[in-house]
Amino acid sequence: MADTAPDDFVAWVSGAQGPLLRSAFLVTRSEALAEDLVQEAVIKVAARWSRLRAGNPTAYVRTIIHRDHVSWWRRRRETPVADDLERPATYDSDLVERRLLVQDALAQLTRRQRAVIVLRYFDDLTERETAEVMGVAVGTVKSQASAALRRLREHDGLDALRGGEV
Amino acid sequence: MNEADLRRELRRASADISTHADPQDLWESGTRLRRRRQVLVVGGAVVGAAAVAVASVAVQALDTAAPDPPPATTSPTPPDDGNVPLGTVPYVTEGQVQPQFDPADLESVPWDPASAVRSWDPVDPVPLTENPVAHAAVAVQSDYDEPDAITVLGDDGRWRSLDVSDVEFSHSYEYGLGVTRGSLSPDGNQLAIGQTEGVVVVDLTTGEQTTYEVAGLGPRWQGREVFWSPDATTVYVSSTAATPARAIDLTTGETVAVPFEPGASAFLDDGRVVEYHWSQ
Repeated sequence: MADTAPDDFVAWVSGAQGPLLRSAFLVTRSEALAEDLVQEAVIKVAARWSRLRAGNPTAYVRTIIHRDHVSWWRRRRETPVADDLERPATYDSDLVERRLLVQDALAQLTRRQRAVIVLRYFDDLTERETAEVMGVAVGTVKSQASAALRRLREHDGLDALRGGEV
Repeated sequence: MNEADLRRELRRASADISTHADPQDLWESGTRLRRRRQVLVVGGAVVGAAAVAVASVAVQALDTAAPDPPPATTSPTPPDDGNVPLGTVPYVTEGQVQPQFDPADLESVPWDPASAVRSWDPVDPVPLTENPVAHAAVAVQSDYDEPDAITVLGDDGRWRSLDVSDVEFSHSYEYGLGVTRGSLSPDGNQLAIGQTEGVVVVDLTTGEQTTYEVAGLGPRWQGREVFWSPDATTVYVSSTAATPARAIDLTTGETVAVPFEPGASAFLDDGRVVEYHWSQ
């Protein structure tokens, strides 16, 4: 007989899954990989829900997603390039243009820099929380964020988005 | 672009990403994962040594600990298909490599009858330091995410919980820091646990623990699987992307790099190591 998911797990998944997926997408630049990482991580949370439900399952799942992505990346031994971006079929909306522009800028970052930027400025984590998710020192987060922001500022296309104007 | 601009653009760039995964499906997958983990951890602890022996369909023997190892007792005819590189080292056949560990009789282990699956929920464990074992037959980290929750089954059929002090075990979300397939010594008297700073060895007959520092491991989560030599005087640590495999001499505390992967090797009584090689 199938085990029925408890209500608090369903509520947590319903609320957290979307933001987690979008965060993973920004880091991985692949919808398919992001979805795989998030689902695998949520399954791991489900496996120990009795212990996580009273704590912070979202923080736990972020750590799993990050580490699984690092493992995937190491296995693949692939240098990310802009051509890897999953491009939508059409390019005729501002949203798509912005998305491609931001993705192109993120693609100029190292994997670690991209993770720091997304965790700090999309997930709104503190430097310490970001360090815990990534398993690095706070100083590393600071230095990686600084280098990443400097590189993003040097990106010609992103500069045009200042103030919300394309 | 300032930080506020960056936050806004990150949100816009991912706004159309959505998921349709069903929480109920994820929950059922999690339930299956939980049951599989419980069985796997135990299976690794018990069957691991035998698996190493099976894996040692030897293709190359390395002269390591013994400076002048004795020759194999028989001289098999090497295969002539040219696919197996023999080199000039002694050739060892599968039949000459036997398990050094006598796995516990699984049917005799006290199971928790209330468990829905055949999990290894230890029954009424007592602290190890209060009641050490003469020999341990099984070591179990029954919860994958709680590396401190380690129990051992003595050859008297009673469970003990590991209550070592001054050591806070860490773990990995993958590959396992904690009890791994090679953690229990062949004689069942010691438990080795890879950690970020080195290897913690617990004497299960006394409850005393010793930490052997291994440089270069750090907070990374890869590697750190441990394996024992047949005489239980050496613990081997698996390699990582950044560090070689190492051997820790427990009598001197000295650590040296070794040119083989312990997890793909069998350790013979005469000091030779049989490493499994493959090629595509």
